[in-house]
Amino acid sequence: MLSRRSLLLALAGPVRVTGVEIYDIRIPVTQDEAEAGLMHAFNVVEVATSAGVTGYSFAGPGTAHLPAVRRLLTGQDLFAIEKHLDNGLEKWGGVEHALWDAIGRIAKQPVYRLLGGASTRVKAYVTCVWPGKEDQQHVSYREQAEQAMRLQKAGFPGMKIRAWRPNPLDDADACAEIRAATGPGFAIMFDRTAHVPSIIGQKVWSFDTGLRVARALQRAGAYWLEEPFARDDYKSPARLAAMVDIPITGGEGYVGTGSFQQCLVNRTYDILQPEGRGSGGILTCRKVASMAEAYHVPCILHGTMALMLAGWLQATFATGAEWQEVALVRPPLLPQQQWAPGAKVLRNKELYRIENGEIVASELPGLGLDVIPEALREFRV
Amino acid sequence: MVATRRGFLAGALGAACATAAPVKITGVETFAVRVPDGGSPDPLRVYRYPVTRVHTDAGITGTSFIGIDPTLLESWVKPALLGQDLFAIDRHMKRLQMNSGESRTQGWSGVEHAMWDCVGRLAGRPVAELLGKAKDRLRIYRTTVFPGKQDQSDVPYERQAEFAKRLQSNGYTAIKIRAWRPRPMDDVDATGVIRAAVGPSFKIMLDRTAVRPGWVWDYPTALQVARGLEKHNAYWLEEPFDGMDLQGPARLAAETDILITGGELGRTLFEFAAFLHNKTYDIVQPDTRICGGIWAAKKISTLAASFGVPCVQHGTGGFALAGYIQAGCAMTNCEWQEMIGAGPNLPTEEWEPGLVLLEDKKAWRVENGYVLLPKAPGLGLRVSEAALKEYRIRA
Repeated sequence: MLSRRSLLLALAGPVRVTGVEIYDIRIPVTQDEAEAGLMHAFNVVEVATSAGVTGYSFAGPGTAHLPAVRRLLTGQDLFAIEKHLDNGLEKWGGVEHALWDAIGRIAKQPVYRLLGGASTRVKAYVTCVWPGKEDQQHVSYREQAEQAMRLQKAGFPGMKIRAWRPNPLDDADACAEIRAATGPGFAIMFDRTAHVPSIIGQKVWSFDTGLRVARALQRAGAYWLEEPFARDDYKSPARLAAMVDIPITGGEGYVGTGSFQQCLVNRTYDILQPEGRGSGGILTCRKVASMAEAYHVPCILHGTMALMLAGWLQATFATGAEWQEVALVRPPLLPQQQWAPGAKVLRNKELYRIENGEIVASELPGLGLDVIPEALREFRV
Repeated sequence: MVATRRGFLAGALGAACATAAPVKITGVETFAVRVPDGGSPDPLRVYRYPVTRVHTDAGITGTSFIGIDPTLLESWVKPALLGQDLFAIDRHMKRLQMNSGESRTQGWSGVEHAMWDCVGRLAGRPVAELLGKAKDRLRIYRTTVFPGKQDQSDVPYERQAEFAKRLQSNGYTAIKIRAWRPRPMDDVDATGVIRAAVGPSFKIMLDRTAVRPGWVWDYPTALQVARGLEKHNAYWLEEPFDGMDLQGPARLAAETDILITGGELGRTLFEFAAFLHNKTYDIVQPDTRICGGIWAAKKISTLAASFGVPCVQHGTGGFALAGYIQAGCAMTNCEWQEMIGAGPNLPTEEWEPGLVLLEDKKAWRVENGYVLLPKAPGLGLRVSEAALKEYRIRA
């Protein structure tokens, strides 16, 4: 119990942001490891505070943004996250993560415990993209099924793959083959990613295509279909969701809460997927989850991996989401293999503890990464 | 080689972050304190304070000045919380809200505020700062019920005007009075007299409080009152109809310029979703004691903000305000904090006897009609263990 005197002394003076640094690091890996896709290059954000505590994030926005971020935050109240978001922080979710890391370190608690602490474990699903053609048409259904079995054997309860093949019904055939390999109980998600396939010349699906694919995926035992249509089309996903049983999901492209409000009012998606960084950050994700709760709509964050994931996980544990996406994983790797080099900048030996396919919340303060500042300095590019 | 270097770095430079062990709730208690009244209690001051406390295995105790029914505490709250994770407020709230009637949700709130006090004390920071602080102060409006009849029909308009002027001369910028008089246009006339006394910028709110006067206005009456209030530049009219009437307030809001507000009895996020969907109110007014707590109020505020609707918390009096002020400062869309008086007095006068309960004998700083977010951790009141013990009146 604190004595009366120490309580009196425990006034919480204002904490100011005294400096922001954004820089790249490259953690040494062998050429083989680099070629295999091990994550070793990161964009670091460091927020120094008048409390003598520094917050870190590995999900930074690129060094070109540094002057603008400094203008926004230097000298400002560390804790006034809502105010910072209002003033433009929304654009730099990774910086927001670093602010929360500092807040958590000052509070000596993991961030999720400060924001409702809804859960301490979350099922991880692994999004796999094979090297080669973006549309994955060169990847055999068998290879996809083998990766699914590899993940399943490692305890992961779900996998997501692209629905980008030139003949969209091929992805449903892939689903059937994966389902045959894994048996029931393993979640197989499909991601159309809205307009993103335009990078390889594909168009956003017509409603009819979306409906045909969704029905075929449903027959093949898929778990959900993500972003079948354009991101500013709030009506078509709702129409599709009303015609099929598999959940239609989306939301990774929205910044701030406004578009999510539109989704909820229009019943656009069965599951909302705010991006842990792109939405504006941890607090924005937590807010979207609160809004979604009013509509009985689950909120499951769009993901990332390696050292970046730390901020996403805090939001996920704060909201109690059922799943956390780990993305993008390059087969045949497992997530733990792919993010292993990140441990070289941490005192904690493993980035995240995984038990039976669930990520377990760290008890370390802030974002849960015990960063070694000297290691960052050493690996700075 | 890298591993070796890493081992060297970890060993030689800087201590590792300490992990924060989970914190469990080891006890919840509720009682009341009565502070000295000098032998002649002043009816405009508060001497009795309900207290709810949450004890933890981290050695930190959280306190709220919101009482909870002792029977509910034993039968319902304690079984749900003892031995549980202090930080899992979202989970506890959902669980307790799901099997709760109206009184039960209110029962839980005193505990929820005390849990947040604990979380803030563990963190060494005010709760608003842990929730993404939006502001450091809230504008106060003083809700004043004058001695006399409940409907205030025996209160001279001049008495109301004089007190509004007193608030104004003490830096306050707003008053709320009842709109309960048997002839509804009398409250409009009272507003006119107050307006003449305080000049154009002082805010005057009127509260019909839905069904509480014992009879509900019909629509034509409400429209006539609202039009009359518009003429005197009243700021808002609160709960002109039944609290569950989603359409009436929306229609009145569409037809008049005065703000139509309400929502203090809303117990769940879903009720507020219904208000927002139906554009029922121009401003929603959750009460953090009724809606499920500080955390629930923040959620409601977030939802309202996404609809572009301000969320101004319904208030209370005495030290129960501590959690309200933390919640309000965590909201982007909450400009005001209601402070409900025991009668025509200033908030600082009202809580003066209770200051003996605080280590520093200070509650909140009030400057220019704003209450400042306190700097002490948790809910911001530095509660004196010795005083709680000394003035406790009920086990």
